[in-house]
Amino acid sequence: MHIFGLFITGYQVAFVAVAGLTVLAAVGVVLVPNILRAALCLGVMLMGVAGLYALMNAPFLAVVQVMIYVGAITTMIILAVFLSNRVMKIGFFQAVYNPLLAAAAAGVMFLFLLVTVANSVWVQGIVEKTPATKDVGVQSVATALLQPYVFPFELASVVLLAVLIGAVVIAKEDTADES
Amino acid sequence: MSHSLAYGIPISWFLTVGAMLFCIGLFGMMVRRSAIGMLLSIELMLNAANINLVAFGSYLKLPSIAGQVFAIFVITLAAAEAAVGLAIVINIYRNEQHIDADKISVMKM
Amino acid sequence: MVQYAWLIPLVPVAAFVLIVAFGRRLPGQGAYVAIAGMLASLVMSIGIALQWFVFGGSNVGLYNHSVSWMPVGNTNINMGFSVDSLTAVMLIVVTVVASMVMIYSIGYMHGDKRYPRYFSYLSLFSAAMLALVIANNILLMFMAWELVGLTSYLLIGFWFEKPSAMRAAKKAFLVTRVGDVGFMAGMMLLFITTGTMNLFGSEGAFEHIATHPSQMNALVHVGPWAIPLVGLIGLLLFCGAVGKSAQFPLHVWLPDAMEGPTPVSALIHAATMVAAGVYLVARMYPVYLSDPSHIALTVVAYVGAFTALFAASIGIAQNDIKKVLAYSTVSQLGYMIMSLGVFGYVAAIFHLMTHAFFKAQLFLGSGSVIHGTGTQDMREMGGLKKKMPVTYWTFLISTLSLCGIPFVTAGGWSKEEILTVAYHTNPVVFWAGVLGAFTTSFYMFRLVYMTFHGEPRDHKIHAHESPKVMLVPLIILAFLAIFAGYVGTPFHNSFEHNMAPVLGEQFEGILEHNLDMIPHGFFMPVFLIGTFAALLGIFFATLIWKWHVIKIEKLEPAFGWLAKIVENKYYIDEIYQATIIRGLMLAAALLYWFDKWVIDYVIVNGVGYMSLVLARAWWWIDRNIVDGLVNLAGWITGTLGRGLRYVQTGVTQQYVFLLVVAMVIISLVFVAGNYSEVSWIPPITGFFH
Repeated sequence: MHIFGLFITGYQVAFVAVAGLTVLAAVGVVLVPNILRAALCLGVMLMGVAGLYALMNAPFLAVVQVMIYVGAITTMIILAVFLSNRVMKIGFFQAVYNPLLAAAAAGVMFLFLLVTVANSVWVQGIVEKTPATKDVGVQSVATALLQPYVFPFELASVVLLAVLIGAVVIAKEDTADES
Repeated sequence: MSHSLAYGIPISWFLTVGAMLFCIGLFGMMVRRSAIGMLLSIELMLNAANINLVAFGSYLKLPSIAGQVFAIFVITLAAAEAAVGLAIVINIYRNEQHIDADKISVMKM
Repeated sequence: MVQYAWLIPLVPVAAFVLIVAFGRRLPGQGAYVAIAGMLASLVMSIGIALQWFVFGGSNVGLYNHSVSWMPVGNTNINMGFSVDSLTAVMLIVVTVVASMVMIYSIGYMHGDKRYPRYFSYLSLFSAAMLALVIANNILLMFMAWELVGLTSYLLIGFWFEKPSAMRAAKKAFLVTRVGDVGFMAGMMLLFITTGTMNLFGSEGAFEHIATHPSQMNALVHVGPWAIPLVGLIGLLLFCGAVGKSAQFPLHVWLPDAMEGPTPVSALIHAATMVAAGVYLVARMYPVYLSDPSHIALTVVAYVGAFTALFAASIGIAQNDIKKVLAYSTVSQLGYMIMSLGVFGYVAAIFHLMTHAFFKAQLFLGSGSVIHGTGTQDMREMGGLKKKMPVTYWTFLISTLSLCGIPFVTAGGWSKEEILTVAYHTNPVVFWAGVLGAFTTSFYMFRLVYMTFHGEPRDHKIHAHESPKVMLVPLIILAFLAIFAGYVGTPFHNSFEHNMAPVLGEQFEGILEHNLDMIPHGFFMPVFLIGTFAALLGIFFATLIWKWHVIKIEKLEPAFGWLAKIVENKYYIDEIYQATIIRGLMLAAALLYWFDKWVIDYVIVNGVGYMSLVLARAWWWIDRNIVDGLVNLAGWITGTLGRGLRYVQTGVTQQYVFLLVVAMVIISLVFVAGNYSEVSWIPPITGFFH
């Protein structure tokens, strides 16, 4: 359809909707004073990112995003919030820095990135107008993970093991100190 | 379906969304007082990076699955980071009865 | 079945490991384990011997099997085993004697405080010896060779509380090592020349020697002599044999080695290990045969003949029963070496076998005497015939075998064969052998008369017969001392028939070419001369020590000086002491002086003094210049730190803020430097292409 002389596809509409939700939720994450609500906002934001992945023709990654990020990491954060329940009482604008100063720094950063994106020559040169449609399924991801990227893959499993042990060691009740 | 889902959406749009998320995360890092709040901001920034990775992976003239693979690694490391970070938070909370990052200044010699 | 022959040395290894690990907790404190392992090897060896000598006929040749061991440069060194008639004979000899000695040791070593260790050493020795004879590769052979040397050292010094045993062990180790250096050099030369460590097969060393005569016969100049290459290899390998088989001039260790337990002397220093030198020369016989000048074989023949005679003469004047037998062993080994030197290949192996049986019996018999009387000095014995009848009769049988009494003993057949070959090839060697035979029977009967006949000379000694476990091996070995010879009678020499093909067709041809003047079958003149010499020796001994017709006192003025020289073993040890050892000590003293005054005083102290002077100079520079720079750097850092201290607050958010600011600045600088046409107002069209 045409709006103000521009041809608008349904996908563009969908993108604007999903991206808007994502950015809105992200703003919620940093601005909502109650940390539990902020965590829930993070969940919404992550779902939005999953939608963006789907729009970019990466369905497997979208599923992974939902399952791991939303399903596991957010849940873990919420659990940590419960464990340290007094956190929820901490308000927002209590930072030692003027939030306006922080906003200015972040804003300059954003402007810089925006200018870069808009001016970049490679946008026209190397990338396609639309995402690739071939070889984006589970099988191609699996082939990539287990053939050229098998070493980082194994390394990641080692890191996860180290984290598993490390987290247990850190969070464990230190009986020696308490006595 | 004969054409991509993202028909009519150029890569710049995704990159812009990524830049937005990143800067919001940056802002969050600076203003959030509680340690968990800072962790949430870090997750925002990681997702921004992921969006860029996947976008370039999909939009290049020689499409590469590497973008998605990297995103998966980032998710893995994010999970690891979240686990360790939260363990630290819980430990601090147990010892100090608060997780106010302003007051946690043991790093200061 | 022969493909499992590698198990033969491995079973004693297993026994060794078991005994080392569990020791006294094993049945019979480890003795039964060792014996069981040895008997298993014996059974397997008998199986192989039957296949080679009885069932196989002439169509059983060489069984050779290798596995890759280690690659060295472009060469792949293999490890493996081979079985042929020579190996089969050696396997039988080693396993039979080892089993007998182990059984005997149950009685002899009873109550020793290191009883399990003794049996573990015996097992290790047997394993090494069996590996030595079964190896198809000269490197593996050398390793086993050194291993038997090691176990010999351990067993000679088994009673290491005795300083003499300790010294004897050390001496044996070092003296044989002199020969081993030659062996090693010969092995390396063989490897360089042929490019392989393997002996058999189409790529083995023997095949290479046979197919490259011009390379092998190239003259090598060693000092004033020009020796064919193959002859030099042969001579170097023979050095190893001289050391191990106690040939002159390296014979000095073997008599001293009698400090070890007597069964050890029987096994290692009479029957098996000392025969390894003979085995080595026999195994490497193609090397010796392919030299047309026969220079190495000539050396072998004269060294052997001289040793045979020389050691026998020393044996006359010894009073220690084991020393007499030790010199007898040296002498008999000389016979074998001599026989190899005059192309008596088969005769040498034959004598090796018979000698192993009767000499092991003699040592075990002397051990029985020592066990019964508690002394080794023959002057304190006498009249033991009635008190130890079994020991006496078995000992007598073996003595007759050693003297070479024809027809009824094994030694008779083998010695007659050696003399027959020598008679036709080298008269000098032949007469030395005859004289040696005379001397041998003379001193052996002196021993028998002094020990077993007459009246007891020392009444403090209450002799008693040994237990049955010691007597049974004596009887079995005495039986073999008679009947082992019947495999190789001149009338029907099946031993020769089986043994000659070991060399392979080409070398067998050379051997037969050199022996073609020897008549087949029984050769009367040699038989008569040899028998006469032996009987004459017995007769003189009987005159002096049995019938006392000739009094030793009357001989004293005429032969006293000679007896003194012989009794002192021709002062060989003293000569070595005065020349080699003194020489080394003198050289060491000289080098010490040089070290102390030239190197220490002039060079080292001089360098030290120079260092001191330089160090003073550097100290000044360090102090005034380097230290000043260091202090300056420290001052700068300190000042900066004091200034920056105010930035570090420990507040994470502040750090993040500073980080972002820095990042923005860096990015702007980067963009300003690299993009010449950046429009700072975002062109909205860029978002829609």
